[in-house]
Amino acid sequence: MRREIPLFLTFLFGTFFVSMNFLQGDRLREATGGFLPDQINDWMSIIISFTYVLGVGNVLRIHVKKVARRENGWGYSAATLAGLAAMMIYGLILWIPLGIAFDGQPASVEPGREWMTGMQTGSVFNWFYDAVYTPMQSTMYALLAFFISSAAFRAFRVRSFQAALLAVTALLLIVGGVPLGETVWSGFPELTSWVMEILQTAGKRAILIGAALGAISTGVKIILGVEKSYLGGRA
Amino acid sequence: MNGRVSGREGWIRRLEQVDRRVIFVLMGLAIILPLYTGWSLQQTPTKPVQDFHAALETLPPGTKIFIADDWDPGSKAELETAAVAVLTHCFRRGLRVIDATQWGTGAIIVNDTLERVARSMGKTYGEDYVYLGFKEGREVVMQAAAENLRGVYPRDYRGTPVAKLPILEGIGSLRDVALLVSVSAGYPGTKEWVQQVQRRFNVPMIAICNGVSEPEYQPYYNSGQLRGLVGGLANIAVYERLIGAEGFGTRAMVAQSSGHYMLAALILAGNLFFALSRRRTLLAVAIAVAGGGFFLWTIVRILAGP
Repeated sequence: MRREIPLFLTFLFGTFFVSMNFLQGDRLREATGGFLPDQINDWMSIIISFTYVLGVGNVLRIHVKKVARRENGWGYSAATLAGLAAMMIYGLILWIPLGIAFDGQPASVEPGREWMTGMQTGSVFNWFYDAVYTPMQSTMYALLAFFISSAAFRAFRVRSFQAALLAVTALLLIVGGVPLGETVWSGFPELTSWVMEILQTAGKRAILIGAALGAISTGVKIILGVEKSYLGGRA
Repeated sequence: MNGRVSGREGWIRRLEQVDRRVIFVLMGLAIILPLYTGWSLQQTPTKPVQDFHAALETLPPGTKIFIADDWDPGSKAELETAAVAVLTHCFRRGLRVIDATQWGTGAIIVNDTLERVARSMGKTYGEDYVYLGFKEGREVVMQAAAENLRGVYPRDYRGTPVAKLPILEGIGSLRDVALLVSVSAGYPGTKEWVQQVQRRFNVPMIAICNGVSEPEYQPYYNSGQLRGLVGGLANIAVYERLIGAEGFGTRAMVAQSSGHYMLAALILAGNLFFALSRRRTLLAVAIAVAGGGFFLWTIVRILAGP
């Protein structure tokens, strides 16, 4: 039964979501008194939210172990745990006693205690987000420009005819896709549009259709219980 | 003679294996220095950008639209600029904006951006715009919002019941909005909105996205599922100019252009040194003539002015 029940639930809900793609929700809602699809969608949201709990548990397990054993790079793990704790304390735990139940009104907070107000303006949580998270994220993204340029110089080599085609197309889009390209040659916008709308779309469509067929095949196998590796163990 | 040859080869090898920090400095200078020149570059709008602009421009004032702001600080440079431009366009035209995000890490920055633009244009919360915030569930939330928006978002980001917000009167689901605007940094984003909402419920949709996502969404524009598409900072700058609100996108174009040209120069230089070190003279000459000629022509055009 440890395998049969999950397989049955997978079949039931897999079939439901596939059939929902072809049914009108309003008619279904009327016929089932609102149970379908609203309740099922709520269940899904709750289950997905619980994956965050699992995620936090996993992060704690891995990094606590690393810190406890003083493994290589344990300082970074300690910083991760401190960040996690700080955001949870200011974003969630301190916020609860201030009154999450609004009784139909926006939250009212005593003057001078805005710093405790979860994700609202003026809170410590927001300060961490604006002053730490936002610049770090933007920095990580900006670093790509430097790593891409280094990689382009070292690895983008014309070693074959196919590589030459790739290099020429890439160079066309790199120099023609920015406003300076149009200043240099007025034909660049038309050329880059043609590459994007014709050449690129043809390839992308093939990939999308191939990926969709693969997803359908895998989905059918999972719904019918042919593919069971997601259950873990000896499937 | 042998010594001279090996000396030349040694130089080529050294250039081919140049310290990556030299490349970082070159790229950094190519991006930073143009910001101080005060130059302005303009680009002709492409059809997808014109269509995006037209989709918002043709809606009558007072029309309610849904903006899916699916981005976070990682793509701030491109998509905060995009969100500001879209919101400015909507508010100027008197459109009423229902905003939400599928990105948990973007909930605060999206709220801040919406509030900043709305306040600067004197808009009233709850009447002219509302922010529904973040709800976990990705495709499930998209599909559920298309069926029953109030069921998915019983309260807005501030905790106010949506039933008390005038802007949501008459809006039971996403099928009741005139247009779905996706501001997308990746997954979940434009592709999922097309698959879950646009196609199934026939909701008109346009998208504005970061440059790396544009190729992914182009087929949806070509098929007509997206009525307009703006991809990347260069096109966002064009859109800013179309609505007459030139902002960060426009200012960043000189830096982005020179960054792109530096990248092209690095690719050509890498291949030139590669060809010389492998004694592929014909390839080296072709790269030197084509690349050198192009960059010479670029300098001539820049000096000649627009």
